[in-house]
Amino acid sequence: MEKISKKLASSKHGKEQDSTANQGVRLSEFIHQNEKQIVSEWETFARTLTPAANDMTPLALRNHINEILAFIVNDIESSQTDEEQIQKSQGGKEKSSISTAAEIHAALRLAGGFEIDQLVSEWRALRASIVRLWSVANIHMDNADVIDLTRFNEAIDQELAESVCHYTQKVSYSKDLFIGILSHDLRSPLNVISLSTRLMLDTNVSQERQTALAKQISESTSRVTKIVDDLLDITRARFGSGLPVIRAPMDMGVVAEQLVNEIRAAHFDRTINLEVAGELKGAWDKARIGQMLSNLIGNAVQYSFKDSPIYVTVKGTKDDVILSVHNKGVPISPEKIGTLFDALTRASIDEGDHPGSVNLGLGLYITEEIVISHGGRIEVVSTEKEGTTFTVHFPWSV
Amino acid sequence: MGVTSAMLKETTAGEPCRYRVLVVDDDEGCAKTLTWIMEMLGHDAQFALDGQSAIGLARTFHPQVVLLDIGLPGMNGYEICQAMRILPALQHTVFIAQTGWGKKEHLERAKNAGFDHHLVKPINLDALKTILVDMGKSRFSK
Repeated sequence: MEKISKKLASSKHGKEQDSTANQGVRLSEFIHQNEKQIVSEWETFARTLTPAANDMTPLALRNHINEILAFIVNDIESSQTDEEQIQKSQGGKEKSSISTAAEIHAALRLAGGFEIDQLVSEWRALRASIVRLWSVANIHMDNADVIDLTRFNEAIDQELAESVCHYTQKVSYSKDLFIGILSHDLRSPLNVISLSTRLMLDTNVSQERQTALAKQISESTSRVTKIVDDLLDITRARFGSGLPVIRAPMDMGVVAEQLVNEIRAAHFDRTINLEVAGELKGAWDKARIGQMLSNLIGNAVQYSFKDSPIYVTVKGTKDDVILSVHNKGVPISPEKIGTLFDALTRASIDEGDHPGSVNLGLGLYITEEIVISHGGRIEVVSTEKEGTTFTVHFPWSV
Repeated sequence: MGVTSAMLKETTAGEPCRYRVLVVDDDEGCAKTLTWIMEMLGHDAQFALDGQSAIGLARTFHPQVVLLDIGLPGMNGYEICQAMRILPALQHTVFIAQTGWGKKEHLERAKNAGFDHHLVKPINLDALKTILVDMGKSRFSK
């Protein structure tokens, strides 16, 4: 605590200060002078909000807290009429352009996987930390200090309200978007089912086409079923205790071969090369590994050039088992690659680009969950020249 | 492209027009089924799975109706529509968008790209039939 400055207030508040003969430091000045320590305490707190905060770089955290503090200082210092104060305390103050730092903060927190209660607790921590530090440095409070404290609380409340408001707006937008994509993706197989059924009712349809139509209906039904299954998995992964994983001895190479054969049978016009090497016997969840491979190879089939082969490799090394799925195709845009694995917070879906598909989104979200629950990691590289490659690493020791 | 004598004859006889229809969808099941539906309705239909081959096919097939999916890899439906619209043989072709998106902005965007109609999947066959019948009526009255 010795480090805290105890300078007299700046000339800005000089008159008021002198008249009350305060020997302490005014709040705005105090925040300004001790910004470093406030930020550092707040950062330490934010880091306890794991696991989401693990992804936050110190810089991302710091940039916005500095702007937020600047807003608060400015707010305390700026004169405020009584009417304004009443308005603000009732949440009626007009939005100031400076306060967008709180909104950016909310957006960053959402993208970083913070829950709303974590977001709120950050603000509580900031308030508590500043008040505590200041009251140590400023033992004798006078009238001016009480006014400062009131303004400070109002500024924090305003920032908090904006942050929460922005957070919930973004969540609600993501949900709308998600439901939009979900219904879009259900519409395609439903379209095939509906049209095929209509055709089958036509008495002039040849036996050959009848068979083809029945097959299409069956495939489309599987697609709808898969989307619904994926949705249930997502619900469990996001709102429950994560994806359940039951480990048992298995051979990654054998499972890969089974999966590749299944997909070959369903897409006999496609070439799928499989390369298996090294030690591949370990304890994983066989059904989940199959689901993961099916998602990755399925995507490769769907999003590759129709005449290009797909390469699946499974390699056991000293440290881990590496699975990769490679295909040539239209590359995934750099903007989309960052949020590729998160179906629910994907920023925007433009049908004009790479087909925005919940199939892809849900499948990859679940794939990542499967990988994480096995203690592994997944990466994706996608370029025009090299094509797209998903690589999964499963370490031997978790 | 205009009206062929065969079409006129059928129309005057009270039968629906027979059109050359091009179906474009990257989902082969969708493309095939819709093509067969068109055949069932008495039209001459072909399909393509992507933009490049669709435009290639349009140059020789001269479709009078193009049923385009929007979310396609590579060229999207809007781009394909714009590219086809400038082909001399397709000056009178009717472009119908068929997509999974049905929001106002999607309709607006389709209209701006040069689409005459916008159908949301699963396609309502009656709506599609109405478009084709109306096409015949307006052509015939010309």
